[in-house]
Amino acid sequence: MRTTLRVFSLLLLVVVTAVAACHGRTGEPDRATVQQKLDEAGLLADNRPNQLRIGVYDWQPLLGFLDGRGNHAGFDVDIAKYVAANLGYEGKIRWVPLVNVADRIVALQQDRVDLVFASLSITDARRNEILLAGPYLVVDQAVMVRSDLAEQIRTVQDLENPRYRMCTSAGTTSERLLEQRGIRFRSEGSDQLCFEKMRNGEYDAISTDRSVLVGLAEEHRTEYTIIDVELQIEGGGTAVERIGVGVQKSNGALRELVDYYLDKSYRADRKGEVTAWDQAYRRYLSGLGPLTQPKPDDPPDLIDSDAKYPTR
Amino acid sequence: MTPPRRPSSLPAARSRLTRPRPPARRSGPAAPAETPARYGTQSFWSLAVAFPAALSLLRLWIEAGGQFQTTLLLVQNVNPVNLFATTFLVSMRLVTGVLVLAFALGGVLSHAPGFEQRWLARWTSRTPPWLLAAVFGLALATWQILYLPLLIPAFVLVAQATGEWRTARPGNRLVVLGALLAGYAAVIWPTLVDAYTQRVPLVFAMFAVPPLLALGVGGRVPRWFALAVAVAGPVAVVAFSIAAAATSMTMPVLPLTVTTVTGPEGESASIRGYVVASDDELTAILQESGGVRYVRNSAVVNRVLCPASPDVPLYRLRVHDLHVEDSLLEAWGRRVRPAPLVDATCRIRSSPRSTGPL
Repeated sequence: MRTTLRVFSLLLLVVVTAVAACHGRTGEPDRATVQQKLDEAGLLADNRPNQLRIGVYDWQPLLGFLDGRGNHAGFDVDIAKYVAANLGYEGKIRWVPLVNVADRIVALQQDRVDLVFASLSITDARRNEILLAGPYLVVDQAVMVRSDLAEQIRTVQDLENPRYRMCTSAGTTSERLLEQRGIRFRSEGSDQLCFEKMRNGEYDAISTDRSVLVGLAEEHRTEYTIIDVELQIEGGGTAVERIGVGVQKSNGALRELVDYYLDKSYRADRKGEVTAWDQAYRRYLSGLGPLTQPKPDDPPDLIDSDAKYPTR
Repeated sequence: MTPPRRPSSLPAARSRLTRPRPPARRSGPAAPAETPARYGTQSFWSLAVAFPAALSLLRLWIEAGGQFQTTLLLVQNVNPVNLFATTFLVSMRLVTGVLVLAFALGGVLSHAPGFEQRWLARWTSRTPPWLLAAVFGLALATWQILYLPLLIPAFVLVAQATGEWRTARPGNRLVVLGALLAGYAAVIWPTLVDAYTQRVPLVFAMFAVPPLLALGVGGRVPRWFALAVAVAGPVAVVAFSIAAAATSMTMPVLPLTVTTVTGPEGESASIRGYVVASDDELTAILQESGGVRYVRNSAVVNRVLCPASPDVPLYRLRVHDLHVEDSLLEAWGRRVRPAPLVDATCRIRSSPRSTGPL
């Protein structure tokens, strides 16, 4: 009996060893790999230009602007560089300037850009037109007024006074909020247009993302002031803008890759590591106060060559 | 004349001379004390040194794509000490695999009456315990954690061929094996639960089955089984050795890099390959796809180090944060340098085969 058990054990050992040796050579991961997604996204295609086309603003202070040497700079630009570098396009970015708010969607639909990093807030309406990765920044809505009006406009009720001329960008969350509050306003094609007209005296106030207003106020410190009012959504709660990355509707794999790398940065941030996001935030947006990178909505479960590294 | 009398003491003296010596104390069943150690040591160093050395030369030829001129270029520029060292490193896992297999099979035969003199059995019995321990230690350090449980039944099989294990009291043997299994269970239990939860039967079996088999594999086997092992065992060892050698020979000799070069009109291209040599003007790159390409140093704008192959694991299972597909050495290394930095440039498929203006 013991001999039979011994022989059985030895035979089973042989089988286990053989199965293990064969499986190690033929197994496939149970998840999609980053390399597979790069392939699906068309980034490894032989006939593809060796550049990643990224749509950015070149007029938005702190977020996407041209620096003194004519190079694209800003928080959005730095996050775009981080994502591009991880996709294999470090130093191979073709920056595509976006004209206005609507151009962000149109540029993707017309295949003029692969990605858009331009204060693009994540909304259900936009999800019908393009794919959105992220968010990589969550900011609230704010109002900036001429400094000489800062003493007069202190509350949302003050803004309801029809003598104050308010501007916002068409199709934005701010527009929706102002409508809900019954505040009179006019819509322009972009925050830039609003600001230019405000400088010309056509408007008294602008409502948009706080990150945009901080940049504009930074350039003209004495002339404009961001007032301390909270634009609330219907039913209460602060209105926040969740800034994401625009991706062409047909390229789900690229959306997953962008989310994967944003999530990777988010997880590194949680572990206390210094990330590209941290550096970009400190460099450009520290005026917003202490903020941490938000978790992307729908990070994919991909596997890459760093999967074996320690998790703690 | 009378013949001289034989001294009376002579028979006694002869009898002393012809009396058989008392048997020397044996470490193995069939050899004197000194020989096995020397034999085992020689065998080990033959394998550990000569095997990688021979493979190193063959690796260069294969690395050169079978091209004689390229082989000459590699021989001229590759440091033999570094080459030997890397071959030793990459083949250690495979060499210890072959040795553990041979010793385990020898352990089975050494307990089968009539088969103790088969070479696998003799080899195992004559190898000194410190050398067996060294082989198991190296295997422990270099094998993937996933396969380490196989070392437990292998340990039992090999141990039973040693004099120390045989002469030990059965109770002591049980204590050693029990302590080994208890320690193993304590370490591995969370991983077993994870493997069950994640529905990964192979990993679950790899961690659960071999230690249980360790309780049953030791001892005498029937003659028919020993005969099968005596016939198939050496074939398995040779086949595994050939497979190991083939794997070792296809391992890269030089670090894989992607070199970005620009042309006179600003166009850039990436060359994926191994930097063989560099002088003041030119750098020779052995392309991954084959062929040597010389590029002007002034055209090189960037070079990044890449992993040799996509190191993507199959499972998401860890033993106390050490990935099951890592060896203990690799896992240790990853803890020392915990931030992986693989440049995305490495993801390009391959460099263009034709030589351009760069």
